Amino acid sequence: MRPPVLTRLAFMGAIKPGATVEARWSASHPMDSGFRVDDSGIRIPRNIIHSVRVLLNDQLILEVDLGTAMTSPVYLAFPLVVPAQGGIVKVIWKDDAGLMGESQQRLVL
Amino acid sequence: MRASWANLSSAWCFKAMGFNCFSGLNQLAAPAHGSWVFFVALSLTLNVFAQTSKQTNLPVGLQSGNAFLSSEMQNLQKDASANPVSLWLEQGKNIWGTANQRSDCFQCHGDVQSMKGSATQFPKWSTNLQKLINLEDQILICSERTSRPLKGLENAEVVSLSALLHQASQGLPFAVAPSPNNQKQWQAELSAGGTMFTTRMGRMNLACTHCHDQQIGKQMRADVISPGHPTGFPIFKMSWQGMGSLDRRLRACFSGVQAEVPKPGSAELRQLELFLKIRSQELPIDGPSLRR
Repeated sequence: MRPPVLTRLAFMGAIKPGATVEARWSASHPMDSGFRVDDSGIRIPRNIIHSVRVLLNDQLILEVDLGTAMTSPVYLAFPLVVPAQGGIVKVIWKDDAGLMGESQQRLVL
Repeated sequence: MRASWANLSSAWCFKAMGFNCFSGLNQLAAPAHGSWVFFVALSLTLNVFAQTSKQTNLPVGLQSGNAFLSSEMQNLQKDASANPVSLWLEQGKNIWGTANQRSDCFQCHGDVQSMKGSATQFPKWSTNLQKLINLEDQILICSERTSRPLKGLENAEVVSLSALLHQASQGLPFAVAPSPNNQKQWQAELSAGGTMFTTRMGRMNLACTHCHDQQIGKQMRADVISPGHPTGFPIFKMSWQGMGSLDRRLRACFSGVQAEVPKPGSAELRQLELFLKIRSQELPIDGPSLRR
């Protein structure tokens, strides 16, 4: 059985209305590029997180298509403007094996 | 930063091994005999400067591998929100569990903080198995008794538990010691490890000591050679894109000198681990940590 994919979402900087903070998201996904072979010489099929969508208060603010050159663990950092009344940031990801996941974090003012 | 390392090492080398080592380091810069005195003086002054500018005053041969990381890597290590190690620690905590969950580790051992010091005891002699076992071996043995046995020494779950237990012992030195009943076997294993450390091997024909005693602080391609103290393990190695144990890192060294690579968990790796932990002379555990 594959261990679960752990994700983490954190914000750097003071969370104040209108301020820009840096959101940092990472996931412990194996990110198999599809170019490697296992010990018996058989090719390991490609399995990467290929798309990431970031929602702020259910509004899409970022959509990313990732390629095979991404490292494992995946790490994304992006700026985010804190809305006046705070809000919830959701990061939704999908991988080649059909797995989907969501990490959620509240922007506490 | 790099220059100060080279100077520190040359000064250390100079004291320990005499003129040969020192001249070897500066052979391109100081071919003429007259300038030799100048370079000794320069090295000594820079050495004083380097020591004041560094955080620790330990001699270079007694510093953790973490001290040899670039400043970027050290910053990454300090920053929990960017440091990939924290993902493994989180996974370790999930497996370990809390009082509310019915988890296997917690049921026997209680809170992970109560395990402070347990990581310092390994490798130790197992009377049942009649061999040295390290912390990862012990985790596997423990997991055999649970409902969900783990397989493989480099299993992500085994390594994340090892990372968690090492974190619980941070700041403590290794305390490997024989118990009264197995003094003899333990001593034999330690001597075997020491012999391996100083025995040339592989197509490179190098022993551990040639780099990790004699070339500390010098560049080996893009890396700075550290004294090889195992305090920072398990490590997240960038080139592995994952975490690995000391077992795996030692096998990488065998491959580096183009020697026959021992099998994971083999006796010689445990002997070497025991020797390295004795050799680290009570340096505190500062792992899990990052490597290039």
